[in-house]
Amino acid sequence: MRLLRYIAGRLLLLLPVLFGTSVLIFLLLRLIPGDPAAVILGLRATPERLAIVREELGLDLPIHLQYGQWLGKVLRGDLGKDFRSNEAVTDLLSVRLPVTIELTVLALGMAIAVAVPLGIRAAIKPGGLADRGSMLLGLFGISIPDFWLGIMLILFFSLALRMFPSSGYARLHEDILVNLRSFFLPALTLAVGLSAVLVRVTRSAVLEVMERDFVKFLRAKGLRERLVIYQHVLRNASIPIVTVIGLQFGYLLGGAVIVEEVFSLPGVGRLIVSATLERNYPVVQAGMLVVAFMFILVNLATDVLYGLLNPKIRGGGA
Amino acid sequence: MSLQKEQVHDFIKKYSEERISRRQFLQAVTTVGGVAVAQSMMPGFRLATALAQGSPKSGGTLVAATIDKPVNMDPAFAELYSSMQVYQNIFSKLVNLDRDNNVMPGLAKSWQQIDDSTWEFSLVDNAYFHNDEHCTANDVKYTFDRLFSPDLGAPNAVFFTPLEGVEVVDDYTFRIITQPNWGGLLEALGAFAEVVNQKAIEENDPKLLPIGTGPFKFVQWVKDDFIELERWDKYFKPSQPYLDKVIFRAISDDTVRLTGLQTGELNWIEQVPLHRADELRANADVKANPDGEFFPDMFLINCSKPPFDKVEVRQALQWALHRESIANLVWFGQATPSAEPVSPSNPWYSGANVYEGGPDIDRAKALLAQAGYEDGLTIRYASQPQVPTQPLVGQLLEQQLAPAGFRVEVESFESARWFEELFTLNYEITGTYWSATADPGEHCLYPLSHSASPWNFSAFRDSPELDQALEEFRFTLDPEARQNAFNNVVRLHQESSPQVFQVNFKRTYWTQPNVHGAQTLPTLELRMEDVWIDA
Repeated sequence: MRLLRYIAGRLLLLLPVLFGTSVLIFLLLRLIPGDPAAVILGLRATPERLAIVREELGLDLPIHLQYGQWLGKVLRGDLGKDFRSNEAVTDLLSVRLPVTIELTVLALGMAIAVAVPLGIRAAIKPGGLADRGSMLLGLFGISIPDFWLGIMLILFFSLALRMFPSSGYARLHEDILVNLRSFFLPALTLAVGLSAVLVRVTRSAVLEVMERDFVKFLRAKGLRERLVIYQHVLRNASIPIVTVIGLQFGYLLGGAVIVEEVFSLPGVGRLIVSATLERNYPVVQAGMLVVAFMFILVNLATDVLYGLLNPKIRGGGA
Repeated sequence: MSLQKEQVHDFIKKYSEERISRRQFLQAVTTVGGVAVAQSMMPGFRLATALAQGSPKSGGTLVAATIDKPVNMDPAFAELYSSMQVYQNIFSKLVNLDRDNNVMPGLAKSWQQIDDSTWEFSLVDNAYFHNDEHCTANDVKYTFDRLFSPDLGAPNAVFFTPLEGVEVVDDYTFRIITQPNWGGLLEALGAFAEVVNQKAIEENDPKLLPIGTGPFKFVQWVKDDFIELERWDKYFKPSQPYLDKVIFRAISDDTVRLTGLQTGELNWIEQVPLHRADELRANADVKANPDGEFFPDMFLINCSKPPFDKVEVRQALQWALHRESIANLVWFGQATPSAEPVSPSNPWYSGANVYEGGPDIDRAKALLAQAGYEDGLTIRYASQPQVPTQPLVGQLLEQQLAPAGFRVEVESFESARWFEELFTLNYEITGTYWSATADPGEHCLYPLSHSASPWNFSAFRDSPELDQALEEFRFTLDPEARQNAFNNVVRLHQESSPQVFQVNFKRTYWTQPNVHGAQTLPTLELRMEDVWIDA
């Protein structure tokens, strides 16, 4: 019951946060230089045409009216239309969100599957093979840029071994195997960087907990080492790990731009970046709002997980 | 003349008079064993290449990867080259231009000039739009009425400013009325006039759902992913297209695109990494198709304010510029230096260069001193990082122009900001490319340099002589006189230098070895109706 009240309270907080975010995005977009009409007309613009297009887009109105009109539409479920193609922004997002979410989930899944066990092993035997491996993965993952790694993986797995496609994707409902094959390399590219962070965090969190008195007590009590690690140490070490996973998940939802670009995946990050370059206001505003909303939801889920992992937190006792 | 030569000569005559098709011509020449003879008589015609490709075969799906993604399928807007690459396969034009700028029949099977301002065209009677509407002269009239509608504000109208109207004579005959002696009508029709259907335009959003009479009809567009086109069975050329389906994808990374071609995921790609082009030409796994230099790269110069308001400064820039270095270091040899919008391989090439013998640093210094910049000057070069060659050109300019006294500051603007710099005339010098070599005087020099042109982004209005030469060029019908007028325009343009042409990029389309018929055209359209796959 207390947990439900906690979740409801956090959900209520969503409204002012989203409102603030929308104002910020709206203002920031209009503060940066660059004219959407100029981009739409390109080199073929004339002063007269620029004025007409600005009027058509409502850009000649005072900024507060522009915001009011946009917010009114958003509250009615209308996120606007792409300035260039006239396509509904909801349609654009509905195609891209599943791509980004799948990419993020797969990358996180791969990273967790490798980094968490490796981090634990590294903490159990500092200086051992797993510890050295985790160090190597940490260095490798953090220092290698995504775009380079992505292209190297394409050259190796696509060109040399012909195991995975070099670009593009198939939708999940069309063919799950083709879908997973097409997502493997992009997800792996992202997962390497994520694993680097996650393995280091896991190792240090587990190490820290293992030095606490209660662990010594459990061991002295004769509890098997496996139970000590997986039932007690890991549970206590999980808060920083969950925090990092939550943050990375939120970050990836809007930010896997480079990987999306290299592998030509139609994701949200790529959409927002190209729309920002074109000053395609409705797309950027809606895209950012959706990403912000999801980021907040992921944070909420992370907080709820904290509560489940440590009851003191949901009671406000932490 | 031997019998064989006479026969070949006869075939060439028939072909050039459009009495036989290219395919019939090739078959006839091959039959009489006159390939070498024909080649010697028609050096401009890539006969050997055409014959080496064999007979077209029907069927198959071609997956093509362009660099940029399309944004708008309405041909009145010609928004981004990447959009045109796709929709030009969905729509048909009245006439088409071949690799040598020859005007070939399209929807119009024949035409004649009635007087100095009237042209009469006959349409084919078997063309259907993809919504099953019959294509008639009324559609042609609607296309131009729509193009000139002030409500639409179509950017492409700028190419047809001397066109005064279209008169329908009957279902398959219409007349185009122009200002007297407009010499650029056919080239403009071949480059920019896709015929649309009123019902289709009014029933759907043409930006998203294009309906034309072209060889392929639109099936679906998954944004940022692919566009699917399929063969239009009622295409007015019964034997074409050869492909069942074309899928366009946009892959921005050169290496990823090339890998896709090498692994067989893609059949056709737009460009390979420039530094690998020569090596790949010798590679049997991929095929470089007949290429062409139809993409002039240039500097736009802001002539409205110091320092480039003085012609001496612009001329000093011309004298200090080393085009060969740009072609070799930035373009890895995949571009030809040229001081005009076209390169020597183009029929329009004038060969004029008032800066012949450059770079000449002493002359550049003297001109700067004459302009009052004895101690040199600092100039700002605005580049767009999303066009990878532009920042490189900027770096090269820093070194090339320094001995003459130019201190170049390279600025970097993403596209929205760059356009703003351009339109507000805040820039000093910037780089851009153009794609108008089907008629470089009409489609490139006139819009960019005439004082009354809305596209005169250089704000150059100091040369009544150049204006007059451009007008003379535009309103000259005789081809030879037109070429002479073009040569004069080029010379005057070089003297005043509101833009400075650097190089002409060699555009090559790369395919798998079993893909035939792909070639680079002056209009830069990807004419997929000519492409076939050898299974």
